[in-house]
Amino acid sequence: MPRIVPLQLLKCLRVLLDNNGGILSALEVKRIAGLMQKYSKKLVSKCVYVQILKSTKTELLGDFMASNGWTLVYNWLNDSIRAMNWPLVQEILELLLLSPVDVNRLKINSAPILVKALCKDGGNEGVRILAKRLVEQWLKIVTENTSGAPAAAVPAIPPQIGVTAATVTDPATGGTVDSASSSDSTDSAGTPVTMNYTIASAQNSNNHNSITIKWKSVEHLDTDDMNNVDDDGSTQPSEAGVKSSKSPETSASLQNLKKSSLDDSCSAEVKSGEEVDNKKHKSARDKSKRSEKDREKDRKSSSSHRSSSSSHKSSSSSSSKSSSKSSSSSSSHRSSSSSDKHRDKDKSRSSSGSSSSKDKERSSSSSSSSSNKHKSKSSSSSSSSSSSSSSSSSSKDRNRDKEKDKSSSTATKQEKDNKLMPPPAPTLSPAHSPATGTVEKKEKAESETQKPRSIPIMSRKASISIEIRRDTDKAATVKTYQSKFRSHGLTEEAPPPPSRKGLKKPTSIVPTPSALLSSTVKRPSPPPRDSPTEKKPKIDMSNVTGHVERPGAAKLIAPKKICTLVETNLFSDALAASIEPKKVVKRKRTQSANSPTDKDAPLAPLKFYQDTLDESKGDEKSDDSTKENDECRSSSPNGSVDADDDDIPLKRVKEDIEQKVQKEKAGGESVDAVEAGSDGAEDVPEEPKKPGPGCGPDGPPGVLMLHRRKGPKKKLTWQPEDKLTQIRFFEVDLSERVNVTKQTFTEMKNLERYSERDALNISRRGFDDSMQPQMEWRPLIEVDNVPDHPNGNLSKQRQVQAEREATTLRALYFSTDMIPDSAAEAELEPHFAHDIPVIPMDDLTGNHDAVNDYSDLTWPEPKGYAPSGIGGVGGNSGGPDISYNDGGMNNMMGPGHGGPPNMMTNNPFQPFANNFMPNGVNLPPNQQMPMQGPVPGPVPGPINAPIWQNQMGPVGMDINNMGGMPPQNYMGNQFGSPGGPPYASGPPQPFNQGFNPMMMNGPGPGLGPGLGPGLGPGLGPGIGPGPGPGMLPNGPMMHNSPNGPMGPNGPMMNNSPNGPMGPGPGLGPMPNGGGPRNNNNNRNKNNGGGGNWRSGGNNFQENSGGNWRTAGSGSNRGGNTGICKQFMRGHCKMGKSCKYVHPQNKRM
Amino acid sequence: MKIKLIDSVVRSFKVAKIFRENTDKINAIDFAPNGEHLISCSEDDQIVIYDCEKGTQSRTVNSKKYGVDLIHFTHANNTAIHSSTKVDDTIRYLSLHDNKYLRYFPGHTKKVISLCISPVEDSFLSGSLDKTLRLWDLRSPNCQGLMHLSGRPIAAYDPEGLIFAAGVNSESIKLYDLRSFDKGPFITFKLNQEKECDWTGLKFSRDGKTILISTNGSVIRLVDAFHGTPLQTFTGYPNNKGLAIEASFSPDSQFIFSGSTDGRVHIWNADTGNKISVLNGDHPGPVQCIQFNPKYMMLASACTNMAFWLPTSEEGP
Repeated sequence: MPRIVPLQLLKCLRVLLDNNGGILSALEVKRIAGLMQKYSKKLVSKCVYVQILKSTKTELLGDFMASNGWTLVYNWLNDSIRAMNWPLVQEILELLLLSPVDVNRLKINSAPILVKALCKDGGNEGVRILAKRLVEQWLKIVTENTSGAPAAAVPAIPPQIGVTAATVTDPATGGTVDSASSSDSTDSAGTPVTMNYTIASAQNSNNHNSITIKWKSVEHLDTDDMNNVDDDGSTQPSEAGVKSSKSPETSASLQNLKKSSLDDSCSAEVKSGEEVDNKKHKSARDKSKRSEKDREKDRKSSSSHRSSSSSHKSSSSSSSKSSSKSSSSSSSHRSSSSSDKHRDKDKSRSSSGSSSSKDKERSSSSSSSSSNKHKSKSSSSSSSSSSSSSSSSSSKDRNRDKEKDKSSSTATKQEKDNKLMPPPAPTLSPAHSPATGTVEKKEKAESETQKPRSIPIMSRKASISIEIRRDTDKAATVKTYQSKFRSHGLTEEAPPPPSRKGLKKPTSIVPTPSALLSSTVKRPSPPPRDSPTEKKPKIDMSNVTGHVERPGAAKLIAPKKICTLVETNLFSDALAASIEPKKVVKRKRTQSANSPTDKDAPLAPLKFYQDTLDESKGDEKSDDSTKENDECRSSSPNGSVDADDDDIPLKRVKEDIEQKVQKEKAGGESVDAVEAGSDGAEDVPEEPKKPGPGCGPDGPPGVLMLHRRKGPKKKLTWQPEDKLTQIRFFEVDLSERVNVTKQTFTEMKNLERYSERDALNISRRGFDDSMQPQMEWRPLIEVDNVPDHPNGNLSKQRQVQAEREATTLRALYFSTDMIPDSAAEAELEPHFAHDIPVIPMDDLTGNHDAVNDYSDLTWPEPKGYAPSGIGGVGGNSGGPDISYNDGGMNNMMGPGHGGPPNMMTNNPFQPFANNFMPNGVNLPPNQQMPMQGPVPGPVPGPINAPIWQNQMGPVGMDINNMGGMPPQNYMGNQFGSPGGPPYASGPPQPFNQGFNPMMMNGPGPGLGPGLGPGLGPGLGPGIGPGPGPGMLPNGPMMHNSPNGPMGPNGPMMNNSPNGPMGPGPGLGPMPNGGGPRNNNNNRNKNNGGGGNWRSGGNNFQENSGGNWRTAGSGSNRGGNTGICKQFMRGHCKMGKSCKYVHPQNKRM
Repeated sequence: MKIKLIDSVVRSFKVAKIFRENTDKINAIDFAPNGEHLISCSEDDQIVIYDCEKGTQSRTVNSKKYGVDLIHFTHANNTAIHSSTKVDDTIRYLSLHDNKYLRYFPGHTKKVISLCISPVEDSFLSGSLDKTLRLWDLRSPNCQGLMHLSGRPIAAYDPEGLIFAAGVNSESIKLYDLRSFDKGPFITFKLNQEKECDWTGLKFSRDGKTILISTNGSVIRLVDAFHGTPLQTFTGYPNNKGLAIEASFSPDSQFIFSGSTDGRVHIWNADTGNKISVLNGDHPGPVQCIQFNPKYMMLASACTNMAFWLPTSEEGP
């Protein structure tokens, strides 16, 4: 590989990076991840990538980790550790610190193990410290529910701050904001750990919506842990610690403020707030626990204890509470958006938590108890559960009051806060109010921050307090979220979490300033605020977001998420939720990616919620916005009132029944009514929608209503069965129907073709195709005297194809059906138009010698069968036939003779065949001839040869050729004419002898038929047929005749006759020859005729039309010759037992 | 063991195998030079390959899209070229191994009636009713040489692959040196024009001494390959349908085989012109294709059925 120049690499990646050197947006994350995956072999590139990642926004970093980045980083770490490259390890560890993590991700690979190992074995101090920190962080994530799920995504952020200068990132990403806030908070709580916590919380807050689920799961875990802890030591120090840690997480800065505020006001309130938060968390946990069953109760109690403990602890870390609140608020926002849980939580924070989810509701009784406990605790600290509920209501009231106050008072944050504060104070205890106020503010800030990650800026920029308040108002909206929760249960959504992140982060930031500013003011309101705060933040969010944009989508999404959270009380749900967070994170990232700045991204989701609010607020915003909004919300009359009412009853009796009733009530309510009527989930979305679509003023009230409704929505019951199921009937559209069995035209055509072909085959095979193998297959024998064939020794395609076949699968077809109709097409080749060399027709050299002109020379005349053979016994001419005659024939003769007629027949011919001359001789033996008969079949003509060249006749057809033939012809003729008669009369033998005389056949023709019978003996039959036609011609020639070709024989006498005779028939005559004669005939023709006699027919067939043989052959044998045809052909199955003769020299 | 092909052996040929793979007339057959495989194509668009040593049908592929005629093995294993009977008159180079066309040779505008491949290299000749004769190379779809004639062209390579013969208009044979075909024929044989039929095929004897001219009538001509002297005329077989009945040499150039419309196989002695025998295999239809295995004692004849013939007599008389 070429050297890597970092600068060049960065330049290449510039497109994908932002100004800070981090990944530009979520869109680039995957590309970058892919690039890193491919091109991170070298140290240089690794370092560059690590730096890029370190300067990447947390959300994007989370995305990156989600898209294989985690594994990749692990690999880097692994490699660097192996290479003992401690500086790189350090860098990577820092990166890991910055990276969002959750339990699932930690489980993906052994990175945690590696890091843990580094704690001990780290190459240098820095590495060890970093590793330890990382381990701590991750441990928290794992051990803490919250940390586990919610924090998972963000955890890295704090470390960044702590380790690296997080400030840089702060502005852009919520995380950064958080960091900023954390940093701010750090002022108060400088410990990095706290930072981490804060971060975690921030993360939680950020992720809230999505995370909430995680939270739950985590919470469950935590609760479990808590329980365990409780069991272990009734006290929940660890848990408390965790919780506290959580709380501190979110609001390190807040803590400071809160602390101050708490100090100022009442730690109890703070505690209450914290408790509430804790309760919420716990409640969620409890819910999960409840779902778990009895443990839940214990847990609740424990949780309450915890909360109390936490609260106690919290006193020290009121900020933590606030943070927890914020987180809870964020969660509530998330959850609220999602479902009633939040509402419940908001209403009766602790109780609400329990009530929020149906399961929670179920457990709500227990939870209620727990909530009550919590409340009691809180109450102990701040006030009774009622007080808590009152606080929630108070928050609402506050809002109203605020609005009113707003109208009266300026829209300053403090004022608002004050206003806000007052309401709670009145409702609750004044003392609480301040504390809560602070808390609320904090919470608001948190919520605000949570909701609008971008908000922080807003908060910072403009009236942070106001915006924050709005956020708090939004918190109220959160309730709406709760309503959404139900829907959330149905759908998992990531987007909300980001908003939360953003919110938290911003909150952290915002709160710091705002909190600092208005801390005092806020203090009063805290207790009730929790709920209100949540609402407020939402409102604020709405305001802020309203400014921003993306209202609808975000809203919808957020609520859904929330819903999921709420509904998922079950452990499995928690698990699912744990998974969901990732998704959420991704979505957030995407959102963030979409938005220019990370803040924006988070804002977006917030905005969604807010949008509706914003619109409403938008109108109001200018001045009294928050308060007014609150008022509006409260004003949103029915909803708010109902909500309040609902809240109260819930608080009073948190029984499910009551909740249900409340739900019903809520359903009955105007806006809420519809939503409630439909479903909790529906309610939620509707509510936000309503505010959105509704006029500015209407909108906000609607939101408020929603919150309260949320409270009532504790009802979290599933919609009625009929609403859950949608039944739709689809009419069958006939036009849609497809006839599967329908065949295409081509298919039909093919079918038709095939069937037709089959029919044709059958008919053909059945009637025409009598073709049968005449021998067995034997190994091939090479032909001698064959010149070598070049065999393409210069072929180059042969090699090409050989190579091709080596790499190409052979096309195998296991059945005829598999054979494609056509071979695969050839690749298209460019076909260039080019000048094709012309091949001239004439010699361009003009060499006249190059032309041999034989045009005047007539073609040589065709020749007939070679006469030569004739002479020889073999009648070679006849070739084989003769041979037969000789050998076999004789033998045949033997028997043949025996058989009177048959023998006879044969003889006659034979003689001829063999030698004319010798006829006489043959005579006796002739019989054999018959055998030939068969032979002739194949070679009909040959036999004739003996006689003359009769062959000619057969072959040439041409009469002329016959030259020699003439005699025969004569014969033929003579006979021919007479033949007829002779035949008839033609007692076989005589004829035979006469041989030639036999020729008589000529007459045969006509006679043919007649003769057959005439012959009396076997003849009758055989002859009859064959002869008929052929008789004439062949007859005479005998030989000729056989030639089937007789036609040719024609020359002989036959000619004339032959013509007609031409074909097989000619032979016919032969047969006529009469039994014996026939033979002759056969002979002649084929000799085969021999068989004639009986077979007469046989002979004929072969010879002439093959009639003889064919037909007769069999018969002939049987009768006449007795030579085994099978044997003659090479093999007789019968072997020695064959009743026919097996001539020894058959093969000749 | 090698055996000389003599009359008696020739006469003893009998049908040993019958294949009914096709439902329509087989229109071309070709033995691989090593005599181990036989390829056939038929008017039902099937290409069937036979294993001659085992006497079995070894493979079948279809060419229903383009149809198939005048199929010839090329030198590579499992490849063949054939003319088309459908779509167009392109010549196609087919790999039977994977049943895929390797190349097309477009150019002819009418039915290709003559196709032969060089026994030595990858070039081949095609003659078409468009009155052109084209020289090709398997490696290129482009025509390597083009001859315009006044009539129906037929062509053949000599066994050495150095010369090719073009039969023109049923009256003359022109011999070209493959190395300088652009200079025109180095010799032309003008013959007595066929009156009653057309030349449908040219074949050099394996010894390169004679050229066999088959027709669509009932006559077969034999001329001296060096001087063009008319040597023999073979008749005596019926061809009453005007079919282009194939005539073939035996590998030792001694015998000439021809099919006929009566379903029988007619055999002549190439030297004497005498008819040796007529073999009856009971072919139900006209025997239009007949070839002797270039290496073994085996004869293949085809109507719709494919028949393998073996000698029953391996010894001389």
